[in-house]
Amino acid sequence: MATYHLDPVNRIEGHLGVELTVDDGTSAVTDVRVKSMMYRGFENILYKRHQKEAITIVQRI
Amino acid sequence: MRITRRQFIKFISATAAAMGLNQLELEKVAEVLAKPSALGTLPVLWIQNQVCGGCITAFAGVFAGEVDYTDINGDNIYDTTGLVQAKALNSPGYTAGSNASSSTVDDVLLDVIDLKFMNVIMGPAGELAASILDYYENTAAGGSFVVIIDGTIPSEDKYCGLGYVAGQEIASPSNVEAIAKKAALVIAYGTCASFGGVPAAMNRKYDAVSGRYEGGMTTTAAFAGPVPDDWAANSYNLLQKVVRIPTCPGHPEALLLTVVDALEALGSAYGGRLPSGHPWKPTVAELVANIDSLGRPKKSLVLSKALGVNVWLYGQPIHLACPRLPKYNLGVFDRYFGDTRQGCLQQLGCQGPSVYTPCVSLKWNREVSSNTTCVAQGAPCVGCGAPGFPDRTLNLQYK
Ligand code: SF4
Ligand code: SF4
Repeated sequence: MATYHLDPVNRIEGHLGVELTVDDGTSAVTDVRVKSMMYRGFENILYKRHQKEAITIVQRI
Repeated sequence: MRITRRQFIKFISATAAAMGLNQLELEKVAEVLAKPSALGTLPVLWIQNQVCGGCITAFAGVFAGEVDYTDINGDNIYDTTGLVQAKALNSPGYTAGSNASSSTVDDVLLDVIDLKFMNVIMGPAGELAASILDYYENTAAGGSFVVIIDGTIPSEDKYCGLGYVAGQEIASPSNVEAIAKKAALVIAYGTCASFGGVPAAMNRKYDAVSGRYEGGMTTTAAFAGPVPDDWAANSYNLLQKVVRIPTCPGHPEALLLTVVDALEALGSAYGGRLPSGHPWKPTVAELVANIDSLGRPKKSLVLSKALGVNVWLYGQPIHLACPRLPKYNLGVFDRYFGDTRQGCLQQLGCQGPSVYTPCVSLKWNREVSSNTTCVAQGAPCVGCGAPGFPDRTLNLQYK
C-alpha cells in the first residue's frame, strides 16, 4: 500500500488536498480522502455573539 | 502572472481618476515606472494561511479579465498537459500561471511583481506547486525574493496545510516562518495577516468534545494571530519590519503602491526603475520613516513626490476625507439606515475618526463614477482595517 498526496489542489479558492491509497500489486486505488486543509472555527467565533455582529463576521467566510 | 505595461498604466490612470488628480502627471509616472528593468525580476511568493479568499479576489480584481491563464509553454492551464510541461518550475524563467514566451519583453512592465507562487492563480497543482515553496525554503538564496502573506497565522501546523512534497507536509506556521525569515521583504496583506482579523476573534469558550459552553472567553480553537514581527528581524530583511496593509479585504492599490515605493527606494537590484538622483526616488531612510509604529505605510512616496501632494495610504483617518464630513461639521446625523438626509453616520456607529485606511483617499475598485466607499454609500465604517477588528470595533459599534 502506498499513499500519494495531490495537495494543494490549485485554481480553486481554499486549501484542498486529496490523499490516495494505492495497492502495490494491482495498482488499484483502494481509498481516497478529500481533505480541507485549513480550519478557522467560525462556529466557535459566532457562538453566543450578538446577532448583528454575525452580519460583519459571516461575510468573511 | 505578470503585470503588463498596459495593465499598469490602466491601473495608474484609474487611481488618478479616483483621486481626482491630473491625468497627465500620472501618465508621466506610469511612463517612468514602465521602463523594463535591466536587472530582471524579483520573485514574489503569495502564501495564503487562514484566509477567506477576499484579499486575493480584491487583488486579482485590479487586473480583472486580463489574467494570463497560460503556463510556461503558452498552453492553457485548463489543458491537463500543461501541468506536465510546468515541470521546469524551479528554473529561473518559471512564473506561476504566466505566459513567458508569448508577450514581448518590452510589453512586460512591472515584472517586478513576478508571482512565483499564488495557489489560486497558478497552473501547477500537487507536488509541482508545493515544491516551489520547498525550493524557496531550502534552496533559494536568502534575500532574493519577497513574500506577501495573506491570512491569519495559526498556532499549530494542523490548522493549515499548504501541500505535500515527497510525502512531507508543508504547513503554516512552521514552513511559512522559515520562508519569511529568508525574504527580502515580508508584506502582511489584509487585516488577518496584519492584526489577526476574524480568525483571531474572541469566542465564548466552547468545549468541542461535549459541545457545551464552558463560560468565559477565549480565542478560537486555532489560536490564530497576525504575522509576528520577529519574522522580519533578520539580516535578509531590508526594512527589519513587517509591512502591514490592513483592511478586510486588503486594499490592492495600497499594496501595489507600497511595493513600488519599496522597490524604487531599494534600487535597480530589486527591480526599481528610477535612476539614482531622480527627484521622485525615495531614500531607504524615507521608506523606513514612512512606516508607522503598527507597520503601515503612511503614504505613497513615489506618487506623493511626483504629484507634489500627499497621496495618503494609512496616514490619515478616513473621517478627514469623508464626503459626509461637511454634514458632520453642521451636526447633521443620519438617524436610521437609509435616512434621506444623507448625513454623517456617526450615530449609527461609524468609526471613521479613528480608522486610518486609504478607503476614501483611493476609494475602492478604482471606480470614478460613484463613491465606492462604505461611508459614502451610507454604511458606517466598521473599522475593518483597524487593529482589534472585529471584537473591539464591533463592541464600539453595538455598545
Ligand atoms: S460618516 Fe463617519 S467618516 Fe464620515 S464624517 Fe461621519 S463619522 Fe466621519
Ligand atoms: S470604510 Fe471602514 S469598514 Fe469600509 S472598508 Fe474602509 S475601513 Fe473597512
